[in-house]
Amino acid sequence: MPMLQPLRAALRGLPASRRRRAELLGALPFILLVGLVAVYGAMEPAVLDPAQVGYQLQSGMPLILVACGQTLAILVGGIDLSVGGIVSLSSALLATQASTFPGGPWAAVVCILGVGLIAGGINGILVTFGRLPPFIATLATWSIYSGLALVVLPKDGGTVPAEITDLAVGKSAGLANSIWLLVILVGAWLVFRRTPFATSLFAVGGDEARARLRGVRSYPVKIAAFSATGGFAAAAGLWLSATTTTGLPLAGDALILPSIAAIVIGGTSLMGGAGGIGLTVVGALILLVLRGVVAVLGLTPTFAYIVTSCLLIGMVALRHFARRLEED
Amino acid sequence: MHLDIPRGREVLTAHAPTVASYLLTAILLALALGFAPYLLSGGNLNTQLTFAAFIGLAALGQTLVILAGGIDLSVPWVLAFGAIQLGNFGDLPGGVAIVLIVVLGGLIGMVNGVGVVALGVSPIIMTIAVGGLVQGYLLEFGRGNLYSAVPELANTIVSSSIGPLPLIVVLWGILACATGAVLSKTIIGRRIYAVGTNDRTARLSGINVPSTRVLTYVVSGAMAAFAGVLLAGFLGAAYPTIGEPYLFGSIAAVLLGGAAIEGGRGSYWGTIAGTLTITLLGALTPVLGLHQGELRVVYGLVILVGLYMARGGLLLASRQSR
Repeated sequence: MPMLQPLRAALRGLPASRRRRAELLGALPFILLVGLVAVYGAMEPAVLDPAQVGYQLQSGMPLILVACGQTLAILVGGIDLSVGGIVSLSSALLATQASTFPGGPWAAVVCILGVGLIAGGINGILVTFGRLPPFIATLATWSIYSGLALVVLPKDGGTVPAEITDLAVGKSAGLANSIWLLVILVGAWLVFRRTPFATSLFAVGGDEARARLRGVRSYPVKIAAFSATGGFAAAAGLWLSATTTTGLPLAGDALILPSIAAIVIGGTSLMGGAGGIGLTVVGALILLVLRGVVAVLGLTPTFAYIVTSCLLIGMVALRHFARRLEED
Repeated sequence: MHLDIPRGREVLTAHAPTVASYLLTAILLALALGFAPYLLSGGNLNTQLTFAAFIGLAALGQTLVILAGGIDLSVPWVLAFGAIQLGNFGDLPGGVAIVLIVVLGGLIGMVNGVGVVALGVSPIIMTIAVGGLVQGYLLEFGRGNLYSAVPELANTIVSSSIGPLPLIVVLWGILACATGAVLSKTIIGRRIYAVGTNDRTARLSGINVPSTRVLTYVVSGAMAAFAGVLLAGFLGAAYPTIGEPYLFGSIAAVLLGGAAIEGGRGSYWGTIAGTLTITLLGALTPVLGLHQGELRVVYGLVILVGLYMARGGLLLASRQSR
């Protein structure tokens, strides 16, 4: 395409080797995040205060958690639309059951996480043994799970035990627990991705047939990945309810598409087999900081949708053309 | 390109998923007649058909997009665009406003299509992003009209009828027959199937793959916007979340109609069955004393059942033809 010649020349002209070019492209989300944070901090220095950072992470945590979970489903070559339903269901369950749960509120939290794992596992079974395309299987279960959320709690309400809220909004060692959770999340991923299980996760997502030839049992790996996605979504619902101190049986749906956006902006391939939770955290943070910048600029929050969409298209198109360049 | 005329068992294999989806519709219809015959009498029947027409129109373009191997997640926002923009065009004569909105909807669809074919963005991401842009536009610039009055013409279209049937239903019927015929009888239809089945083969056989793809998204945008206009007329108001049920609805109708999400297999005749199934479910649940939550659960379960029925039909037919 002739109109792309300048872009092509610019990309060619940048770093010398192919490898360096690929690295630069991979680092783009990090550069973008650092730049955005710098701009955000310059416009409104108060937002870089640790307490403020903690508060903003606290409100952004549901998106981060859902997106991290979604990453696992996408890594094995799937996608999970049902996360919205699981978030809503977990939020509704916490607000209705935790106060009266035999064994106390923390037992309820554990059980709700278990519900998320099972719900995700059902998706995994439909995708593997049920042989349904992930998009369709999770479209159906999205409807089921979000319906169950409304059965449990027909409209916003219920109560969340104070100790759960206290943990989510509290501080440890001077820093907000939301910051610690993010640190733990990224740390756990960095450890996890060196494990043999992570290797088979990437292998199945990259090329399932080849992975099977090499002796990876792909079905259990896929089911585990989908199950973990459900677990993350349940955690997001718990966090959402804990920080808002109420049950929100419809809140999850609004997280489905942004979670996919965060993953794609971070650099994980929708084709599976490449990327990771670390990248997704960066992508989700970009979206959250963007919202902040838009607010500081005095623009309405809806303006963030427009910027996010442009960013999404831009990043994917840029990677596409870079790949085409490498192929030439 | 030569047109094979399928015979005997081939017909059965080709149409098994469609037959299965009508079977599901028939089961629900029998349930409806058994539990609540009044749902399907006179005025109620027309109301249900009108609801079906909205889903059917939103699913029309979605069918083409899915047949060609894509997916359109921007449908709810383009539909809301049609509904809200109608209020913004209040100064124009009704007919002109509606035509303009359908054209603009088509242009939004074209953006989807061009992004997919020229920028290499996957359909899921591209249509999410474009949906986000439209959503941003509606909330940012359409603000005065969030609950806007609806021009006279839209009201007229919605309230008039031809013979015993509402005009909307007749319009849907005409567009449905046209789509069914275009898909099965014309070169354009053949191209859409070919692109969805295998785009490399399609390219090698001389089909302009990008423009065929873009065309499906254009139709999807135009139809979603048109459905939005009619829905605004029907409800007498327009608001940004007006299209929300139609993301799920339009895709579910196509899938329940026996189409394959990978593209290349399915038909609008099947989508009509899917549309009727969803409408019947929506009508039946309150009769059975079920609420919004249970309705969603039932939708999900029926989709799973429908998918396996379509698959079962396909398996059965291919076994017989062996």
